[in-house]
Amino acid sequence: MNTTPRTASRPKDLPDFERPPVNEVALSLQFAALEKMKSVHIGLLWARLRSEYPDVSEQGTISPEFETFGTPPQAGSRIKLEQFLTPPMPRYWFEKSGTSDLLQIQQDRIIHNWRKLEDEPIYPRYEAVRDRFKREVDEFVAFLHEEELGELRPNQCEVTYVNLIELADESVHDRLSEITSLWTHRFSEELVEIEFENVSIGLRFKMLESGKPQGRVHVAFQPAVLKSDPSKEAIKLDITARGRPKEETLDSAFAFLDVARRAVVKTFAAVTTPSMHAMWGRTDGTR
Amino acid sequence: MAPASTARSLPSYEMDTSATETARRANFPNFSSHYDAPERKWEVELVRALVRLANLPPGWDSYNAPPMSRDAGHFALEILQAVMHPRTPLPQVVPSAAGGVQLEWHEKGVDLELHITAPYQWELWFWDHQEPASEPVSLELTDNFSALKRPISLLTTR
Repeated sequence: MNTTPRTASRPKDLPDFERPPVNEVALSLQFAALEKMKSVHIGLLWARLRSEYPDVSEQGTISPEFETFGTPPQAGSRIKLEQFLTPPMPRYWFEKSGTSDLLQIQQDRIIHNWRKLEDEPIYPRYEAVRDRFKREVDEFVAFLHEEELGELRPNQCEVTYVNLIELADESVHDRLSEITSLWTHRFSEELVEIEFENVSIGLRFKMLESGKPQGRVHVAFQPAVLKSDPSKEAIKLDITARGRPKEETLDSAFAFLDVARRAVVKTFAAVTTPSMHAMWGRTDGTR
Repeated sequence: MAPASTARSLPSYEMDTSATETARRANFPNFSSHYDAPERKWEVELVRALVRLANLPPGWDSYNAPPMSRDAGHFALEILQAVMHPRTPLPQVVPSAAGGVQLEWHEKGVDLELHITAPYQWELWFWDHQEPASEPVSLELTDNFSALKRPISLLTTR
């Protein structure tokens, strides 16, 4: 990579945990589709990335997402336009076996994922993931310029934290009330011969700036099991903050990612219980 | 709610899909199934029209106009999926020379035109001819669709 890394410091007013249950972090920029960029160009790009990412694979594309406001959400799944269009360039995964980092590129998106591995269990923190992503985006922009494939104009930025929450007991799915105060686990006595199994919760929050929406936070609590031990239950807590940068520039896009990360961390602290915060080693003193 | 789109194919957990499927069904009670077909019909017809525009040859207007860009098509569908109801009349779907798309309604005393050039770059032109005091409205819009509520409501209920 060409750019010298510079790791920003963590904002002091953010909730902080010694042992956060984060299992995956993804930073994503969606941009105006680079219609000149074809699969054949990916080989040229890989030549620049190969020392860090020797493994490449093809995946299905991720559909565009747009946060919009002013109309109520509509229920039900939606038809996606690309299902009926000529297949675009696939999404490419660049990775190195046994390491946590994954770079994903498709015609209208670049994503960096950090994934928790048994060999690399320590989350390096947002600032380090962001710095690495910034270097990769800079490299991608230089590649686009040299190959005359167009400009990267971000129109949607996204930060996703996937948390995998386990409790000491193997049974977790019926104990969501210990993890979040959003679920009280109270039923009337009419629930006879009907046994509770599990619950999923979905929430949406608007991210406001001076009272106006600038993005949205999506929260989902869902039951899951560990792949390493399918008998072990967990609660998967996804938090995604997504929105439109103020301008279609990289500076604006990364500024939005910082705002989105802040929203994700604050939302995480807001929707989980103080007893879980203590278990995860909350250190910022705002318990 | 929208999925965490970048967090697919994750390595260390599996969803309890039977539970989530049950939850999904619980969110959308049985009566909705009676309306599934008409709800889908408008969506399918408009997607078909957008696909036709995306597949136009370059220079389709006898000059140098490009086909509708995928980005413009995606955002046009985003707008339609946010505001259309089963009883809303279908718009005419027309290509624009700038690689965008125009959605037009001219019925029930309403003129409504949306010109979408790219995600978050679109214009609205609206005139209610049945309202004597009404004046044409012309707006440049981005991520807020609230200006569409009244014209779509008139088209749906009038």
